[in-house]
Amino acid sequence: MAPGNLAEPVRGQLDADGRLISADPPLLHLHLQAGGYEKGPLALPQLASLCRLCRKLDMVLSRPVQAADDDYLISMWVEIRPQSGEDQGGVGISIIDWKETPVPGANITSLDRQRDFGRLSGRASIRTDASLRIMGLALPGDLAAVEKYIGQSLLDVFDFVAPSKQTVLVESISERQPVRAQHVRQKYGKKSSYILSGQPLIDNDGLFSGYRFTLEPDEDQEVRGKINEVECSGGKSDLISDSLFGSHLGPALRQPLGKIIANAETIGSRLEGPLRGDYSNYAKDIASAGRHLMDLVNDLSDLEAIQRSSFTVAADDIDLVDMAHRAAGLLAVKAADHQIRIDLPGKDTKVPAKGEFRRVLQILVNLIGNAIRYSPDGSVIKLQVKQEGEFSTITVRDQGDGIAPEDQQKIFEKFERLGRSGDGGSGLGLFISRRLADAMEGSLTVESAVGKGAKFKLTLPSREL
Amino acid sequence: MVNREFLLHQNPGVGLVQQAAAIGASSAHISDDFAAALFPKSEIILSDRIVSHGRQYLKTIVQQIETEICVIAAKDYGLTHDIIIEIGNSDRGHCYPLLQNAGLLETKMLLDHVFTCSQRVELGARLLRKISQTDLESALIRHLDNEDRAIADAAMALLVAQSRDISAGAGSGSGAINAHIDNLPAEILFALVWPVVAAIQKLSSYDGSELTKAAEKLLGRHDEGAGTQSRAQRLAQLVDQQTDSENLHPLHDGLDLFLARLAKRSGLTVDQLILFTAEPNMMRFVLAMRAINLPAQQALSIFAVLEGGGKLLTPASYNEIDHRQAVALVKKWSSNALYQDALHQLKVHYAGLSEE
Repeated sequence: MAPGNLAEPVRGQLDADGRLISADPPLLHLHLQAGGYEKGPLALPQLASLCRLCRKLDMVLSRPVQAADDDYLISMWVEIRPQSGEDQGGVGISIIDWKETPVPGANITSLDRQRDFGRLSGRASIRTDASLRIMGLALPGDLAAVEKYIGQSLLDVFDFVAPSKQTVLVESISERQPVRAQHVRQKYGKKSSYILSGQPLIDNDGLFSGYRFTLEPDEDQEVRGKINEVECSGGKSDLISDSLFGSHLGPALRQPLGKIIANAETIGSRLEGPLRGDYSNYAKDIASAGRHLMDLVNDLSDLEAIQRSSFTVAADDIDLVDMAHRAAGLLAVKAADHQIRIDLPGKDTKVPAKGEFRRVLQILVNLIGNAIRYSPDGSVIKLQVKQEGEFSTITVRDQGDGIAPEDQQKIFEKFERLGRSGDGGSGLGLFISRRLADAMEGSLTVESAVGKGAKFKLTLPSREL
Repeated sequence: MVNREFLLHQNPGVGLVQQAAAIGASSAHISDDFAAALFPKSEIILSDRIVSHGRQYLKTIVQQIETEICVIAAKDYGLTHDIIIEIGNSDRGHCYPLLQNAGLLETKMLLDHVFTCSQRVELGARLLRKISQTDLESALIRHLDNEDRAIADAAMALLVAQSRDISAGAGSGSGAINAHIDNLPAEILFALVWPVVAAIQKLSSYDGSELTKAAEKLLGRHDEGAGTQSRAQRLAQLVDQQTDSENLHPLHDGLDLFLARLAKRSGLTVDQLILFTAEPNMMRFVLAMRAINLPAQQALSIFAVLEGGGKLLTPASYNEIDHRQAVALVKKWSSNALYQDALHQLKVHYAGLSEE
């Protein structure tokens, strides 16, 4: 939160046992940073002690509270009220002032020391943006990985090792929940095994801005992995790393781009201190342009991968309703920015299908992302699922300008933009999506008329529940 | 040393013999009073004015609480007991003598608070010798135009609270006793309300639940954020990040805001700073100013405004104070109050062992 006035108080509520049962994002963020967990005991000592006093006296308290996170000392003015009625025994917290000042230099040194200790113990850390793209990482003893990983999706660089599943991670992320103890292994490079844990990050506007993951070496898995490697000779090739673009040009571009985006976002969000408004906007433009370039690099990597004859996809058991919710969750912030509502099928229905989990998610994110990009603000994007004989389908319908019949095949061609430019698209998304759908023995089609929106339909082989 | 009051005084029907018996019983405690006067445990000299202010403050607060409780019990809970209604309508206190004789007003927390309030009145009076109440208010009014809406709001809230105090204190401003339950910290009100309920029950011989319900209601609706000191503290927290220490001065901020800002800078509490101003030569107060690196001229000027005994602080003696030592001592004073009390009590018995 930028130093200044709060338009609205930051609110929270404790139940009779002192657990934080609800909190606005800044308070929740602070609570998590202080070592608390959701619905757990309030982890801010001074505030918790005031809440106890409020319960003991059964009186309204109005006092200053000091707290600190990694970067700021926070001076708050807090009103604490005992609750009545159904919430009897609980207390309501209302923070009416919230002022941040950068922590003194001494603390920064101690953070550096902490990081050094982390490195010494072999602990790695990864910072991602909201779409899980790696913005920064420290992998002790694996410099090559640092070069390759920046800018890639976390899901592209790690495999999940049983009992952990990628679905668990994606579910946690779509709900902005902390991720705990997932077993992962690097897809390429040293193929080291780690235990991955992460906390969601909330930016100064209280919005979800990514994750900070820590990776601890998973020594048991390391041993098992080596045995498996010996047993399975000539395993399948990596999707990206053995291609020219994926292994050389992609990483070479991703690393500087990742740094540009990360630094521009830091400047734009004024994390390091106040900045003139127009400079902050320039920084946001730089970050936005950087992201566009990064998307292009990723698309080109994918393009190269899918055009290889050896390209294969996994046949995971997936549920299209679940996939729809996850993809929409990943784009919720972007949709909210344009006041667009994403209408989803009810969670109680299930439409089972066969397809690679990650690739189906990629297609849906592409379709919904396009729909958001080309729909008017305030419109509705409707996702529907259906079982049609041996196939399961999911449709994404928007209320945009629609696509003329003569253009409907063109949009699935490489670099086809239908004359549009400057909207962040690369002209590769639909081409890649269709190729992925084909590779999964399904299809991707469009129905549309000018002025009546577009309906994209992804069809995948069905499966028995 | 203290003018004790007895219920008997207020009852002309009681004979001289009974009065004499009561006085005789109280005289058994003369040694306690004399010992307190002969062997004071603090270095602070309690002037008659401070004692008088303290008594007046405590009486007024107790009376306000008993009136409120009786009024709430009668109006909100339909209590029709004659004595309780009479107490509610009365313009003098009834519970105070009972509580005083029972020793229920002698808790450390309460007496520390009363002393602080009395000394604050003293400081306010000293300040008003240098600047008018109107000028003090205009110092606050400049914050109303602050770009930060929180500061403007907090300044307005403080002005409102101060004008409420002034009207309650018959227009005397900072120099008057602002004895109003709205200004009480939650713990102090809580500590006073229940003994007052017990005293009303004893006076009225009524022990129905209406009185406790009324007390709970009074506590439940009390908002300490409406108190003048609380509002000054909030404004200080907001203002202190915007302004530099050059403006830190009671003539610039007014007493409440100045003390709150100095407290925030030094890590001490406002009550501690007020206590320091009562100590000989305001020595700890001077150290607190030195610890936050206030320039000598500014510190001297503040000292001159707040000191009441005509003493002087010279630039040489101020600059002589080692800054690091001052910081270390202030840090020690800002530690846990119970720990400090324990240290202080141990120091009394083993004088000379303290590193201070």
